[in-house]
Parts: sequence; structure tokens; C-alpha cells
Amino acid sequence: MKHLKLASAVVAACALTLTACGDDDGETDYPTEAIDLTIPFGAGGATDLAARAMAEALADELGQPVNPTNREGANQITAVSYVNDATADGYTLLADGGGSSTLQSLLEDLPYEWDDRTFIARVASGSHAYAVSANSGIETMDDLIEAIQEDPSSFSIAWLGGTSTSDFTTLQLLAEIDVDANDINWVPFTGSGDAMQAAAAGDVDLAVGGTSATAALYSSGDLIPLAKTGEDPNFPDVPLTADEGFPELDMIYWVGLSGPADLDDAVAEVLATTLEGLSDDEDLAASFEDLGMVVDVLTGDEFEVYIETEAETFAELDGALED
Amino acid sequence: MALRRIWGLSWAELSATFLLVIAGMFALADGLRLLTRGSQAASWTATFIMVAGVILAALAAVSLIPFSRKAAAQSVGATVAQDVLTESEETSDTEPFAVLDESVPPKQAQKLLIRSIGLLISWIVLLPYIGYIAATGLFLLVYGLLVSERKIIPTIIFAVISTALSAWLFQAVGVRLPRGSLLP
Amino acid sequence: MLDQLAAGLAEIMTWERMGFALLGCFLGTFFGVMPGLGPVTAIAVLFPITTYLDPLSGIVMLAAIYYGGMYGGSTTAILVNIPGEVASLPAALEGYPMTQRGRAGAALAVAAISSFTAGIIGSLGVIILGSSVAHLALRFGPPEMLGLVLFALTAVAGLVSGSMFKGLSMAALGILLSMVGYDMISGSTVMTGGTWTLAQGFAIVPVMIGLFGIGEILRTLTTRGHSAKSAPLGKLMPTKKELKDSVAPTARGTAQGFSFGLIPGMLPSIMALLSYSWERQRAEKKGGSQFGNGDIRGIAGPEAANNGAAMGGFVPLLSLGIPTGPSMALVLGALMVYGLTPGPTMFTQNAEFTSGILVSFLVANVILLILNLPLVPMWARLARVPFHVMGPLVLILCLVGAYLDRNSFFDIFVCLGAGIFALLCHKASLPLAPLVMGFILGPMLQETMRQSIAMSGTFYLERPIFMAFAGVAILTIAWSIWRARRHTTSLRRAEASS
Repeated sequence: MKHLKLASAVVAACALTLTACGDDDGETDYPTEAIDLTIPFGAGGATDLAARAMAEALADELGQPVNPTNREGANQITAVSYVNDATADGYTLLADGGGSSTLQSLLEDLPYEWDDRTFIARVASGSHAYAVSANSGIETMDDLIEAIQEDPSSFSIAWLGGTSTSDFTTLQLLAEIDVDANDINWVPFTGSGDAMQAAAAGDVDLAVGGTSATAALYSSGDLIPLAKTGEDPNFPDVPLTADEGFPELDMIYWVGLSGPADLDDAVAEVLATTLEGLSDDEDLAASFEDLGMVVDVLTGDEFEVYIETEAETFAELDGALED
Repeated sequence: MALRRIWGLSWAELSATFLLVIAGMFALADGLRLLTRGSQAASWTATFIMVAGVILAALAAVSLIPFSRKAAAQSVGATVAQDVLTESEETSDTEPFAVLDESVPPKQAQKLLIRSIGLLISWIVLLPYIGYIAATGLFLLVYGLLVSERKIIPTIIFAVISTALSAWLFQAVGVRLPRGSLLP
Repeated sequence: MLDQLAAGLAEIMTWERMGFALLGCFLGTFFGVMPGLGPVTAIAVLFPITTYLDPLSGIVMLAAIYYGGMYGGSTTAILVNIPGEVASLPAALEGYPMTQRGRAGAALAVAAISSFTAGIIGSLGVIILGSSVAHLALRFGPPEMLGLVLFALTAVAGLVSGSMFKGLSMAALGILLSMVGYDMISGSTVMTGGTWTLAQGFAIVPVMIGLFGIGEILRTLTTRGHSAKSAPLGKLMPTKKELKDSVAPTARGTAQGFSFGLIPGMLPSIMALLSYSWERQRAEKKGGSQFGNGDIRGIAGPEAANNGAAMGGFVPLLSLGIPTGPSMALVLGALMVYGLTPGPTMFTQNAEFTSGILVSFLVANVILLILNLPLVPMWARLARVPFHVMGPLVLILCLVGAYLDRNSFFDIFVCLGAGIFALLCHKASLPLAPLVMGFILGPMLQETMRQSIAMSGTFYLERPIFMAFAGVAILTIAWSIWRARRHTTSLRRAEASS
């Protein structure tokens, strides 16, 4: 493991020298001091822990401390505003994700343009699970679809206010099986933990959330995750949506890094290269695995395209909902 | 202080109730604004805060009118405490103590309070400029001299030691204190 | 059960965690000893610092602070006749006369031993009851939770405040304050006046520190004189008779405190006073009452009831996520900051963690008993240090704590504002407890109400548990109005006869 880490550091260093040599203007000795990483959630949640894991790995590679600071509130808008308004020197960065970027494209009165920032990299991603109560009689995706189609208006599904990728994972399913989302009996929740609890108790017929949110109730036998939208090594027994015949159901959530709009290209490059070097880091992979996520680095143009596509998908799915 | 009592109410009761009624009205107005947005989810929230706002304003106002003030007892805790105290005064040989006594005369207390709050506000305002260490040291020094009216030398010693100690303690636990833009 | 406890004990018994428990006991007692400050203030001021530790260490330290605060309160009451808060009134009534007789040490020892006993038995009670209530709680859907929230709100509004009108309006204010900000469910900003600063909403930490930290400390600093007489401590060991006399009151106090403490609104302080009253009546019936002149039974009973009720409150808190009063609301707030949501899962999914919490109560009790008793002379001296020496520093610590939660300057202003508002409420005799309950339970009230209605338009007719809770809530309102009326008529009669 030590060797691998060393190797990846060497690779990163080489890449760094190469970029530095190739582009005289962008030469930079960044970073020379501690970096402030703004986390848009409160301390303690799974997403906060993921951002902290990223900060730790980044600090190891860069040789400068990366200090995570939680700035919770206003549906992550406070944190994004804070980073947008900070000096674009690369010492104030945002632990970004779908909720603080692409999902905000759907909000009406945002105090900034949602894509007016430098998207540096996606670092890790996690998949969602469709979960029902163990007593529901539903055992496969086909059972579930049948039950929804039979009478959508009496079928209740947990709803997190449309501010989470989980909701769009649900909408993706409804679009796939041609059920009008407006017919569904939506029951509001503020967190996927509560929603899973309600699904296990049979208070709602279906809850959708990150695979890690189902872990405890799945192991106690109260909840059945019918399918997962992507790989999660913690749940080898849960089938993939693709294997169940629904390759279209592929919604993931991600954690990444972004900075203010006018961030120096050379600085963004240093960070992107460093993060790319981390894609084979075993320590990082292990700490993300504990959180139900996989290291899944994406940078540069590919990442920008990914962001655009995700925003378009959200807009399309959101269009199916009346207010 | 001519306005100390209106209809037998203290200025504190009047101003607190006024604040509560304003808050209720604000909630009501904001609920109406949300209703005009038309979405179903928003109208639910709107109704919720409007009901809470009306309850707040109405009950706060009602609690002032003589009928309800007559109907108001003390809290259960206070009632039991009073029973306990009256019982013990009958039997006790020792001097009756003043429960949670307020021994500073009201005028003096008011002066101290205004100075304390003023100093706290200056600490907050100065913090982003001169940082935790300077702001706190200054606060403790001025507070000791102006409000607690203690001697200069011990006040300085106390201010320096406790500022340094608290800053060190925060550092040790891993807390990152706000740093000033002019001084660290 | 036992293996769960053993696992919890193994988690706690590390040098580091024991160190935090020790520090917590010390800091908590320090706050409790300050005249006018009690366990609630101690928790409010100190818990931001504990959030920098890992969750279990944080909880261990918090429990230690809480117990230390209670312990410190009775120390000041016994030694210098200043009951820091209502709960230690009995300790002052019976303990100070003992101090004058030179039996201060014995009074302190009995107070410590009886609250230790209640703490230990209460912790075991939480373990036994908690897991069974939690099993029941898995059947608690949104309508049942809604009923419980309504009951908890009305119970605190009715019992803790004198006027139901004032109590309920403060609860409504708390609910509204919790709604300010960005509403996730509807995706709109609520009561922000169009500013993005307010869209952050009011966080629990700065509001609590403001109401119970800044407010209380400013009041103590500006209104309380500082003339405390000193008295000799006397021997620490209670005599055989004193010990024998306190056994039965301790047992009764523990049972009464714990069982009533399960009910929202029955605060530890109320239970302490009720226990005092009952012990006194019992002693007078039997004859040989020394009450009012330093009767050891009047210390043992209330101290046990106080601690027992504090433990009882943890059952609904940990298994259902419902606080019974302000101090439990604060603990709930702290748990949420640690990223834990109290509820049925605390005893199933997080069983190890929960047994860690419960063991930490035991540990805190033991530490307080064996460590604080020898330190009594030091606390006695500290109780006589004028508060205006340490007070200003504590004020600053409060504001820093408020800032640290979200690294936000806005929160510092919120904290100071809440403190000034708390002072105003005290002057206007508006109760803070319902405000806090509303603030903590507001989001849950709104969410469960929406969920219940979404599940069925006529849920209130279909769920018997909801109907039972709603019925009790209405009875509580009716009872407190009736009590107020009776109070008025008795006042009028007293006027007429004099």
C-alpha cells in the first residue's frame, strides 16, 4: 500500500512538472499555505464525512493542511455564496456536490448563477437504492412497478422536497415506467434516514435514498433494497438496476471540488492533477467504502460535460412535476 | 421613568408583548406572501406559519388583558416552591433567606446591564478587525475597570492570563478562532 | 443487556475519555457552584466545545457537565445558603441549618450519595425501559409522533409556565423561529424578509447559548450582590443515624423522580420540590420532624428525586426523540449537532453507542462521588469568589461557542440577541421553557403533520394512539386553566378575609 501511494505521488509530481514546464505563464508554486475547504452541510453527516476524507487525502498530497469548515444553512446556498465571494486564489474551495450545483439550477431566486464557478473535479460517487418494507410483499423491481402502475394515487412515496438526488432517482423510475409523477401520493420527509424508517414501518410504500441510508434497516431485516443504481461493495447481494433490466436508472450522487469563477487555471490544474493521482489511492478508497461510496475521479472537460448533462437530466425530470 | 406602569403593566411586559405581536404579524404577512406563490407545498407552509403567527399574536395580546392576568397562576414549580417556603418560615429557627435574591438596586443594575451589552457589542464589532486575542484582552480589561470596578493591576493580570489561557485551550482542542484583518 | 453494558464500559474506559469525563465534571461543578447558574447554563455554554471531540467523548463530557452542574448547585445551597436554581432550594432549606450546626460535610456527603444512588438506579432504569419503549416506538408512525409532540408542547406550556396563554404563545414563537430560513419541503424562503443572511435560519446552538448562557450570566452579573458568609465544613462522614435516616427518602425520591420524570413537563426541579413537600408531610405525620432546622431527610429525598427525574427524561428523549423540558431539549440539540437523531434506532442500530452514553452517566456519577467530595473545600472557596471576576470571560466563551457552530458572524449576533430577549422575558415573566420546546419540536411538528395528512385525510380518527395523546393534551390545557382559576379564587378569598 505504501508503495502504491508513493508511486501515485511520483506520478502526480511528474504530471505536475510536465504541466508546469509546458505552460510558462501558468507556472505556480501553489499551494504555499493552508487551504480552507468549505463544506455546505453541518458536521457529522455522511456527506460531511466524505468531504473530510477528500480534504485529508488532498492535504497529504499537497503537503499543506486542508482545513474543512462547515457552513451549513439555506439549502447550501450560504456556503456556495461564501466561496463565490472569496478571493479566487485557490485557498478557499468548496466541497461541491449535486445538491450545491446542478440541483440548484432548478431554483428560481438564487443569488448567483449556478454554473458561475470553476468546477475542478468529481472525486467520489455513491449510488441510490429503491427500498420497500420487508412486509410489503414486494420482492423485485417488477413487483414494485406493478404495484405503482396498478393505482398510483394510493401508492405513497417518500419525498425530500426535490432538493436531493434521491428524489430524482424516484422521478427517473416513474418516467421509465410511464407513470405521471403528479398522480403519486407524495409524503414529505427532511432526511433519507427518516424516510427509510417510515418505509420499513410501512408508513410509506417506497423510499429512495443513498445505499448507505438503507444499511442498518436492511441488516435488521426490516427493509428490502430492491435494486441499486450503481456499484456499492457493501451490498453485494443487492442487484444492480441494469441487471434487473433498467440500465436507464443510473442516478448517482457525488462529492467533488470547485472554486470561485475566476480561479487561476494553473491552480485548478494543480488540484485536478493531484486528485487524478488519487484515483488509485487505497486508503482513500477504503475511507469512501465505509461511507458507501467509490472513488470515481473525473476532471477537466469530461467533468464539465458531466455537470451539464446532469443539470439537463434534472431539468427534464423536474418538468414532469406540476408545482 | 414616568412610563413605568400603564394599566398596571411594567414597561418590560408591554415591550415584550409588543415584540411578540409584531413577530406574529410578520409571520402572518409572510404567510400571505407565500400563498401568492401558488405552489401547493408553499401554501402548506404558508398556512402553517400563519396559524402559528395568529396564535402567537392573539395569545400574547390576550395574556395582557385583566381577565386573563387574573386567571394566571404561577408555574407549578413556583407554586410548590412558595408552599415549601411558607411552611419552612413557620418552623425555621434560622434567618429566612431571600430566594434567588436580587441584591443590587434596580437603577444600578440597569446601568451595569447597559454597559455590559455595549461592551459585548463592541467585542463583536471589533472581532473581524483585530482578532480574538486583542478583542478579548481589551474586553476583559475594560469590563473589569468599568463594570466590575476593580483595581487596575489585578484586572490587567487577569485579562492577560485568561485571554492567553482561553486562546491556548481553543488551539489545543483544534478550534479555529476568527482571525482579524488588521491584527492576527 | 449486561453484555451491552460491558461493551459500553469498554468503549468508555480509555484514558482519553476518562480524562474528558473528569474535565466535564470539573467544569460542570464549576458552573454549578456559581450562584445563579445551574446545569442548563453549564450545558448551553460548554457543549460547543464538546462538538470538537468524537461523538462518544463529546457525550461523555456532556453527561459529566450536566451532573457536575447539578452537584455544584447543591454545594452552594448547602454551604452559603444560595440555591443556584430552584432544584437546590431544599438543599438550602435543610442543608444550610446543618452547616450552621457544623454538619456541612455530612449534608454534602448525603446529598452526593443520594443523588449518586438515584443516578445509578435511574441509568439502569433507562437501559431497561428505553429498549422496550424503543421497540414500541418502531410502531410509532408520523400520526403517533404528532400526538406526542402536541402533548409535550402543551405539557411544558401548562406546567412550567403559570399562564397557559403566555406558555402557548411562547411555544408558537419558538415554532416560528425554527421555521425562519430556507424551507426544504416547499423550496422557498420563509420569514427572511428577502435577505440571504436570514435564509441561513437560526441554528440551535447560538439560540440556546443566548437564552440560557448569555441571558442568565448577564442577569447574575448585574443583579446579584456577592456577600457570601463562610462557615466551617465539619466532618465529611455522616453519622450512622444520618445515613439510616436517608435510606428510605432516597429510595422514595428515586422512584418518584424517575417515574414522573418520564412525563413531559415534569422537570427535575419540580420533582425535587414535590419530594421535599412529601417527605416533610410524612415526617410531620410520624412525629419527630426536624424539617426547617436541618433534617437530613429533606436533603436525601429531593436530591434523589432531582437526579431520578433527570434520568427519567432520557427515556423519551433517547427512544422517541422527545424532550421533556429545556435541559433535555438542549441535550437533544447537542445530539443532533453530533449527527445523531435520537429515536427508536438509538436502541437498535446505534445500540453500542447508546450503551456508551448510559455507561457514561454511571461513570460521571462515580467520578463526582469519589472525586468531588474531597474537593469540597475548594468548591466552597470558589463559591465565594465574586462572579464578576469570571463572568465576563464566560460571556466571551458563550459568543465564541455560538460562532464555532457554523463559523458565522451572524450567529454571534443571534446569540447576543437571544440573550437580551431572555432578559426581557424574565422581566415580563414570560416563560422560556415553552419557547425552547417549540423551537426544538417545531420542525418535527410541521413534518409529522404534513406526513399524517398525506398518509390519510382522516388520520386523526384512525389512530388510537394519536387520539389518546391529543386527549391528554386537551386535558392538560383544561387542567392548567382550572388550576389558574382556583388560584385566583383562593387569592380573592385571602384578600377578603384580611
